[in-house]
Amino acid sequence: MLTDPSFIRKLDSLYLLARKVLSGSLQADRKSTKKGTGITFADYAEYYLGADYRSIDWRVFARFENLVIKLFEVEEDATIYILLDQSRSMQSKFDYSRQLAAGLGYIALNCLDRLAVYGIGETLTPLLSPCRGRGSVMKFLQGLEDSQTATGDSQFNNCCRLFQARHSRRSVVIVISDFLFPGGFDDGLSYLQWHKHDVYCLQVQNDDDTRCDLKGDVELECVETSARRRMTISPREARLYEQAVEEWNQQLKVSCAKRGIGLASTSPDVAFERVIQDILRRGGLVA
Amino acid sequence: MNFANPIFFWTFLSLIPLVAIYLLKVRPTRKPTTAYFLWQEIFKEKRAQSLLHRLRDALSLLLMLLVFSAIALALTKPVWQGDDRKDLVLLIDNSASMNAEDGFGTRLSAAKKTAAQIVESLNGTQRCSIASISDKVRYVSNMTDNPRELLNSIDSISASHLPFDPALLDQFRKRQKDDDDGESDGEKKELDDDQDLSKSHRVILIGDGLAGADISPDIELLKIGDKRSDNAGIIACDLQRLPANNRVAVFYQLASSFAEPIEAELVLSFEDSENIVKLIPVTIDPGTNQAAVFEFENSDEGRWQLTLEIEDALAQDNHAYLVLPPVEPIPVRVDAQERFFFENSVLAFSKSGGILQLVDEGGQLRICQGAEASSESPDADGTIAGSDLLVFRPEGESPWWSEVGEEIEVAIPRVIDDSHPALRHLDAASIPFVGARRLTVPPGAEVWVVAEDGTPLIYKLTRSGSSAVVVNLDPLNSNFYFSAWFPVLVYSTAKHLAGRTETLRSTYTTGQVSPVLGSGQNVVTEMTLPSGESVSFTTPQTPSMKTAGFYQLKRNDDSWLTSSSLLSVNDTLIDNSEIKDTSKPINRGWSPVGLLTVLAIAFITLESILYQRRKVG
Repeated sequence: MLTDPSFIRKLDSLYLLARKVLSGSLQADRKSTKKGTGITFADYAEYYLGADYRSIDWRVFARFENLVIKLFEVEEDATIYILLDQSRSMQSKFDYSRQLAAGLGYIALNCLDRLAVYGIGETLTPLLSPCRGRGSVMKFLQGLEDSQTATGDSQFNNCCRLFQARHSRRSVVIVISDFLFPGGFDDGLSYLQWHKHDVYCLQVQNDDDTRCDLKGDVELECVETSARRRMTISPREARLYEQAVEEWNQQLKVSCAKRGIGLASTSPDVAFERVIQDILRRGGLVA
Repeated sequence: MNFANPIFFWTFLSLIPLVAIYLLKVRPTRKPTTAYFLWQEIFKEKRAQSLLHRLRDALSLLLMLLVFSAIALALTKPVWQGDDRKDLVLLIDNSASMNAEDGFGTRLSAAKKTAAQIVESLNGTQRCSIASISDKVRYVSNMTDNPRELLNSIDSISASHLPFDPALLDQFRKRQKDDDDGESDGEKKELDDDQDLSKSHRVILIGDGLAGADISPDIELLKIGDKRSDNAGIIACDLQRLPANNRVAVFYQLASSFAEPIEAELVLSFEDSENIVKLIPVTIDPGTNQAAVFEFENSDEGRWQLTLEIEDALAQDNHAYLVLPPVEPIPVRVDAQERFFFENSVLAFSKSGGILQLVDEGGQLRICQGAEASSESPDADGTIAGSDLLVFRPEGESPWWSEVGEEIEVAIPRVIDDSHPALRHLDAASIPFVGARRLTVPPGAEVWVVAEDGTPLIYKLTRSGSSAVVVNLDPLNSNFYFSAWFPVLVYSTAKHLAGRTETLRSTYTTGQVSPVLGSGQNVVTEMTLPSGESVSFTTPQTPSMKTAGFYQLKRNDDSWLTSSSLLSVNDTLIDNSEIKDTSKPINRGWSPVGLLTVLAIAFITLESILYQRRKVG
């Protein structure tokens, strides 16, 4: 199983929080900018022809002889899209990434949000069609369970462009990846924000990504493209690599900050529970 | 180049599997990476090193091939062409002149360094022995092929104050030939001058070559010290009291190897009081200078030092250590009838140097004639108390002869031991022994001169407590008083009986021995060296005085001083720029095997660095 039942019960107490008020087609627990027939008072408005007379505040009329109607906040559901990196570079982190995706998706389904999961590889691969409600949990988890890392070079920007073309309605987009994309990530993040999606990046990297323990003559092979090259790695080269990874991650941090995209970095060494409860809570993704 | 073990050329075949193994070995391990594109950025930076990187594997293979080739070649034991690899005898000159500084240390240190280089070139099959040579040849190592033993032997050779004796080389050559004959035939043979020493050994003298033309043709000179060395020093010196006044004369001779005349100062100091007595400016011409003498008013007995104040290459020859002995005349009493001649012979030596002193009573020596020798008879225990005797014309009863017979004619006296100290300055065979009588000497007499029939003419007899020299002639009848040998006989006999046969010089050349004063055998003499160490001996001569300086000697209740100084013209004129190096080519430094081994180590070190680079980066 991707998630432990006892831990899933703990996730029930968390509340998925979007930083922006999102719009939805069904009434749910999430606030929206729409005024309608909710239960939370929002504002007064002058009565107009055709307005629901049941919303006229007769107490105000009795006092001021003006017809005003009470406006209420409409609580709607949100659509959560989880984009899970399925490239070969995620091979060593894929189980951990699936656990994160399963946890977040479970919370979303429990909160009656719409959930869809896509895999990022050479192309955008649907792993779970949009669904809602607790009844979809098993289907969601099974979809994740069956997913595998894909061969070929990952095309993050292309996948994001496809996503932008398919989903124009504002929603929450969570990207789970190591963000080690040869083509970069700036364009992809821009595409994701195209329709004002609330984008959140969850970077998963392990020590193999950030550190270089290689020494001497090696034949480096790209796990995605199988490109090879012989190289002598001295402490200097190892240091250069670690600096390059650090700069790459720094660029991601800067790019996200510039775009107002939430970013949390974690590694498989950090317990899954801690990520959900601490890191994401501080990052504002869950309450 | 020759090869002692050419069979090992087959080991070069090991290069084939080496190449195969190496090609397999250099294939690097494959490592997957998730951020290949980041590595590509680093590749771009390293592109400039890519050529070296590509050549590195080939370089490693080349180095390993060189290592194996060097080892294989070393196993064949190559030998440089032209070196016949005979057994070597290295004679290292450690005479005083080798202490000369030539700007980079002493000549001895350079000689030892050269010898060490030759030893290092031995390939394990060639043998070598080491000897030092100065006043004598001293072997410090037997013939061996063990380089460590030889190097230790070279290190053990130290500088000396001894002059070089060129005659040693010829002696060494002869002895070496004898040894060769003994080795080959199992027994010593007579010296065969036609034998070529160089057939069996190669003898190399490593030194400054100041022995010059005396170097044997069988011995190669490997000259040390090409640079002209400027040096000046004292090559002769003496200090003596002048007769008849309270003055002392100093004789000295200087030499210089400077190209130009130089100015210096001679300082005479009395070491016992550390006072400078005389300071003389001198001009020293190149080469050997004329001897000179100066006098001064002082007769203090003890240690004197003549120092040449100059900055030069060799310090030892700038000092002469001199001893002025105390005046201790031998008291002589004359009990003879013809006193005039005897007394004048004593007075002659009393005025000249104060060696003898005429006394009326007592005396260490009594000169008498005939029966006067019998005036002091032995005691009941056989001891004869009183002075030693010089007896002429024996007659009557005496403990110094058994019986005296008729007069005999002596045509040709025969000297039994003409090297005896008492006869050293005397031509006893030319003395007319007129009035000699047939007599019998008591047992134990030491007969020096005899007649044709065996009658003792001059003999010495020692009884407990006293000695007597008996001269069997009538000095009056033979006109011996007018002979030049008369005072000589009195003088020599007096000194001999007083135990002062030997006269000490004011200084001896280093390496020489000094006579021991006093008579008697098996008496221990203790000598304190300049270094403060003491040695004891019972010989009539001191051990060789190898160090320049003062020596204090003590024997029974007597003590006296002696000294030694370098005083060697060969060791002062140390410029050897005209001397030719006669050594044939010889390996120095690393042998081919050692060189190949070092090369192999160097190559394998380089390969290790590359291997480390490949494995660790």
